[in-house]
Amino acid sequence: MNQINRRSLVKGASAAAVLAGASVALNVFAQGRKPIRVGMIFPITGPLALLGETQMAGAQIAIDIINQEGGVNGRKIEVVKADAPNSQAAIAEANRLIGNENVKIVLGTYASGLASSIVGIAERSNVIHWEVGGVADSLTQRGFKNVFRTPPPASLQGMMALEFINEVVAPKSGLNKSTLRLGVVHEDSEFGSTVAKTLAERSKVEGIKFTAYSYAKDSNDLTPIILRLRQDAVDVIVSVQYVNDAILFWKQAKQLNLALKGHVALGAGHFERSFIDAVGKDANGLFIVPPPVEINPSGLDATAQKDLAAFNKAFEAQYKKSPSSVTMLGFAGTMILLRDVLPKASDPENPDAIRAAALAVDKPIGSTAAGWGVKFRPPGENGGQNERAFWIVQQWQGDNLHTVYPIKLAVRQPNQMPLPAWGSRS
Amino acid sequence: MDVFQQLFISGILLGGVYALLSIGLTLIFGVIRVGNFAHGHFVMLGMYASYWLWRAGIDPYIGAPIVFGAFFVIGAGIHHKMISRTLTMPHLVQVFVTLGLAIALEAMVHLAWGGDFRFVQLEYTSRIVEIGQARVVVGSLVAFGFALLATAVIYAFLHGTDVGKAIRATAQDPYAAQAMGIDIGRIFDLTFGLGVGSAALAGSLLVPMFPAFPSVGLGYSLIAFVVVVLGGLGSVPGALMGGLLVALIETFTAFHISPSFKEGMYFLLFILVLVLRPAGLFGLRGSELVGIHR
Repeated sequence: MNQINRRSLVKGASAAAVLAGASVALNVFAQGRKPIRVGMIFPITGPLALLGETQMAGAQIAIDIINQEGGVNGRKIEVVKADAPNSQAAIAEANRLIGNENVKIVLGTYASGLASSIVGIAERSNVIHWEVGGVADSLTQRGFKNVFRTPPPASLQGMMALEFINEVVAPKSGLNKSTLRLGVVHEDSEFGSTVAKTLAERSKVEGIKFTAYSYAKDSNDLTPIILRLRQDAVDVIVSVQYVNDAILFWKQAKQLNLALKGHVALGAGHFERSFIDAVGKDANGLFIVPPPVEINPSGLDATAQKDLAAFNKAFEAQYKKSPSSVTMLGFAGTMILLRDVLPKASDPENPDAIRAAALAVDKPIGSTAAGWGVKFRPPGENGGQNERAFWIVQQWQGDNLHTVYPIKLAVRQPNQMPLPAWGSRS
Repeated sequence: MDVFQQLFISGILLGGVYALLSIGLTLIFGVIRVGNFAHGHFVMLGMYASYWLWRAGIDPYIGAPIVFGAFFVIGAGIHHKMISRTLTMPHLVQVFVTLGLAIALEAMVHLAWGGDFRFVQLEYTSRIVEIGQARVVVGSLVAFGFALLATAVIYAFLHGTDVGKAIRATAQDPYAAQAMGIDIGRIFDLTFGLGVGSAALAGSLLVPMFPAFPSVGLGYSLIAFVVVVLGGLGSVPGALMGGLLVALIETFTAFHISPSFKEGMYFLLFILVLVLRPAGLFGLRGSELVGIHR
């Protein structure tokens, strides 16, 4: 008892205080450097693998760029990957990411079918679902508050196709709304069916004659559909197809000598080099309505221009070819999360804070690498949809894709209207 | 162009493709009574083998016999080492072994060569030929020709050679065959090899028209199973007729009713056959009941 005198008490107390203070400071410091874990779920095996992989590559490049800049507010992004070749795997993997890996953001998925299987899981578990690639309208129509979608919805793609046909293709082919016969050919999954439905409704409103045919995407023969289209004497076809069926359709259309004045393709099948590699020069003249890619950088602000350049450089260095629009979706959507949302969230691993930050973003058109603006709709009708995202129109010219519409972002004029006969396209 | 003629001819040629896909499976299913769920995956491997041979400068039609030979050996080996051990076990074990094989093959191919679609571009197979008022692609005529040839050759083999007769005997009654001195283990190896070889051969003939990619197998397996059941297990002419029937139904339904219903229609027929004549159109009555229980 005598040994504990005032001096040693003060010494002991102050030593303890310093230690306590130091450990708190260390803890805060360590927390500040702890990486932000983001779950990433894409189809990297199975029938959607070709495009799923490239979209994930785009997302990864965005993450690498941000990490090279030091991360989000000093915290690097750590990716927890998951493969979802089909809906069942998507559900299992989403549960694993959320339940076992404890991520608070799930980023993905390229395909609307996969996304729609897992958005409910994120909503129930209060985890943010950040959709960069699935475009079916229904994803933002279930009244969920945790689902955010960066690209434009599929319904707008059909609208853009129709707008382009009415404004450009039809007049140049000597047609107008009352004389135009429109045919829609689509594979029968959620994506294809949504687009077809929108086009049907719109055509009815505008008084355009319209027929539609759907098929299973692994069909081996599309001859009957082509014969029906011929019987309907369609002038312009709008197709929603994946790679395999897009190629089969085009080859068989040539075989049966289907005469067309124009063709506008909405599905990813016509966007990739595999398409022109397989069908050759006959692909030229075809229009596609992709998400933005190869746009005129003069339509973008400084940061967006820098990001676009860095994205192209990184992808070409790693994969030895130019990125496609599918890749760009992965990059642009992830960049919005990492540049515009997470840095503004009071806690980037708290879903409520992330949601608040996302809803507060308000950036004009031209402020992202894709040319989009950013403004997410509040909970309610189409809650979580980025209202300032849009589709563009490109054309295969000279064996390459070039942006032709909207005019501000165009790099070339559209040509070959009406579409020349098979064998004479360039 | 006459719509009926075009539909009919396109249907017949598609039927040739379907028959090619099914010949191998009907042998395996009919003789060994094993549902080979990896069947379509061997077609896929045959497509890739032909693709790589084409990249090395060998025309797929010339390389087809090489592919057949190689996969005959591989198939016999797979049966000897893997499937034969499951023949005394419940059917479910056999199902899972072939299913597991299918999954493994798909994953290995994806790992080795990625998910990209592989196209064999041959100038002469895309040429268009007119038959009456129908326009057809040379590649599908060749595939159809091969389907007829393969049916004839295998039929002749099964009925004209001693080994062929031994296979048919084993299919009819494995115990009696054994009692007659037939080594049924060897017969099974041979038949499995023949089945896998035929599947790979079908792949070689398809790849000038359709792309090769890792998950193309499942769709082909599905079609082959329908055709084999329709035509009758173990009946090679049945596989040909079944293939033609499925393709014609598909094509005409797609045009006259709706393209979205084309598979549904032939599955309806499939159910009807299973209910009314389960042995298949060309199968021996009751043959569907004979199993191997040792």
